[in-house]
Amino acid sequence: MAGKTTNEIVKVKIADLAVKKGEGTLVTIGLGSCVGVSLYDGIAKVGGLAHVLLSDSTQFSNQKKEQNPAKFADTALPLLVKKMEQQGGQKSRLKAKIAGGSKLFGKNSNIIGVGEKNIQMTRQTLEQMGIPVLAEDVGGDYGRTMKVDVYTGDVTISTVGRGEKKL
Amino acid sequence: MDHEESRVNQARMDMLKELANIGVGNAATSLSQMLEEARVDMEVPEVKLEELQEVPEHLGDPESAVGGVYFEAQSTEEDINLVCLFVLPLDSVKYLILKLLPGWASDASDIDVSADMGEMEISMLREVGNIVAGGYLSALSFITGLTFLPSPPQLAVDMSGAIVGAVIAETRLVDDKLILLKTTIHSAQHSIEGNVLILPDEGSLERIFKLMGVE
Repeated sequence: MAGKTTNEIVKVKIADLAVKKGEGTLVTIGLGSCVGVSLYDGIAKVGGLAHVLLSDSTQFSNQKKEQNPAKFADTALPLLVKKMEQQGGQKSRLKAKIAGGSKLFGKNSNIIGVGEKNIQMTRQTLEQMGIPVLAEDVGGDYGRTMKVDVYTGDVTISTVGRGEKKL
Repeated sequence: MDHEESRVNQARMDMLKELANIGVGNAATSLSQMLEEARVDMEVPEVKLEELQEVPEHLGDPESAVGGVYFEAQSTEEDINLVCLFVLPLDSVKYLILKLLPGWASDASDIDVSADMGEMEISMLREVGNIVAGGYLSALSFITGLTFLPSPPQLAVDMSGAIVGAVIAETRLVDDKLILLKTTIHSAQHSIEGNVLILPDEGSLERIFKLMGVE
């Protein structure tokens, strides 16, 4: 579709995920210890983005209420893949880029933080699903905003005072 | 919603508003003493049952740079925990540094808080966090008759969305809906403003209501 540009932006909030096909941008603002996971199918031009809050849903499974699966890495990523498949994406073609999982608070302590656990669970879940991780911008002690170009699969990371970078 | 249910909910909301009112009133008084200023104003507290996803939006643009101090408070007698987060825009952090650390900088524009802060600035902001914390904890003790102990305040300067998300994750506040109490305080003389968010987990909230006889 030469000459046609849509700048439609879909915002993904905390503990949420979204899928977009064709063109446009998926964006999630303020990844601290949370991890942003972008999945991309370059043939079907389907992009997905999840803003994961915590790593492991099974730690909360004893609670009486059903949990929102988008909150946890182990449940959000399978759900994201499913939604992408519904839009014509194929699991075997998906490539991942991940960002976030930093330690904003208590940066000098040696305890493995929520962010580190989120990164580990994200990598592990992607590996189990056979989805390769093309690029990462994770860890550190600062927040990130993640933008995904649904047409190209390009991911842009912006920060407060640390500039922008492409993944 | 039937009449009885709405009456009960109203009673619960009123109690939470009262808690926020007393808490922020205490905090504003202490802050005005710290700033040697006659007036630190506060707005009417907002109490809301909110979707987890929407909580960061309550502190303005989630991408804007802010200073955030949070702590958890725990009752010594009952299984009650809540999280208190105090968020200030970066400009307010700079004004606080100017006011409370005299000689540190001659003008707010000289201060770069997004760079790594030194011990002095960090302990100053922690102290401000302690003051806000103290105000809420004494309000909570006053209302419930229980004693609450705060965790050491944790501090970060970053995007407000990142800070709120990290606090929710660190404190494992994972209910899909959260009760939030928000109060805005400002000091006109020093252009300092801030938002206080109180987030109790659901179980703690129920136990507070039970204790207060608002069921």
